[in-house]
Amino acid sequence: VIYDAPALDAPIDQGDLFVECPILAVTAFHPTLGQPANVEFEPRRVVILTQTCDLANAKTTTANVAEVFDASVLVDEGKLKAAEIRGPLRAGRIWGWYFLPADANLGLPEMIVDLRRLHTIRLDLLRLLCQAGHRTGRIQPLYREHLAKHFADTFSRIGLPRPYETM
Amino acid sequence: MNDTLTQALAELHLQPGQSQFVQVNGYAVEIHRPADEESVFADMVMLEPWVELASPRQGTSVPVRRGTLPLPDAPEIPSNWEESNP
Repeated sequence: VIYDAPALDAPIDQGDLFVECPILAVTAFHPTLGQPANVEFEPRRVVILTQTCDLANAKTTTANVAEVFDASVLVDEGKLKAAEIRGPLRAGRIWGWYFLPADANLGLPEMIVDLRRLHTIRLDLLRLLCQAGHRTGRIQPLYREHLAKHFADTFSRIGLPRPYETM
Repeated sequence: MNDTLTQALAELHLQPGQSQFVQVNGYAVEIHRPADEESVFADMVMLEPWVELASPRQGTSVPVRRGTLPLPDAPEIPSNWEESNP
C-alpha cells in the first residue's frame, strides 16, 4: 500500500490525489475576429507535483498538478494495451507516464499519471476540494519521490540523435 | 595524562569533529576531537530566490461550459524493453 488518507484539514502536500478538479481547455480561438475564446472544463483526477518544501513554507499560492487517468479507461479507449501497462509502464520505462497501483480501501483504481498534462491550480481551490471530500488519498514518501524523480527525468533527459555504435 | 599517551593521540591526526574508537581492557573508548573550528561557510547565506508574480489585472471574462476534454495521446512503447534494464 503506497497511499494514506489525509484528514480533511490536513495541509496540501506533494502526492495528494484529487478528483473533480476542474481542468480548463481553450477549444476554439479566432484571433483575427476579436471574439473571446471558447473555453470548456471537465472535472479530472489530478496529483500534486509541487514539492513538499515549497508547500510547507507557504511560498506559493498555486500548485502544479498532473492529470491522472484510470488505466482501464485508457485500455478501453485503445490508448494502451493491458500488457503495456503491466510491462514497461509499470516498470517506469515510458517517459512522461507513471503507473499508480490500485487501493481498494481508498477506492482508487489502477491509474496512469500523464506528466505532460500539467496544470496550475490555486491552493485555495484545492482546499475547497479537500473540504468537499475530493482528496482521495496521498502517495507516501519514497513513492512520491519516485514519481517526482520520474517527472524531473522526463524533462531533464537529453536525447542523442542516434545511439552510440557498439563493437 | 602522561606524555606518551598525548603523543600517541597526536599521531591520530584527528580532524575537527572526527572520532576514533578503540577497545581497552574489553570496553570501548571513544577519542573525539570537538568541532571547535568554525566552518569556512559559516558566514555564507544560502540563496533561496522565489518570485511569486502578481496575477494579471486586466482580462476578459468568458463563459465556460462543461465539455469532454481529450484523452492523452498514446505513448511510444519501445518493443525491446526489458525489466532488467536500469
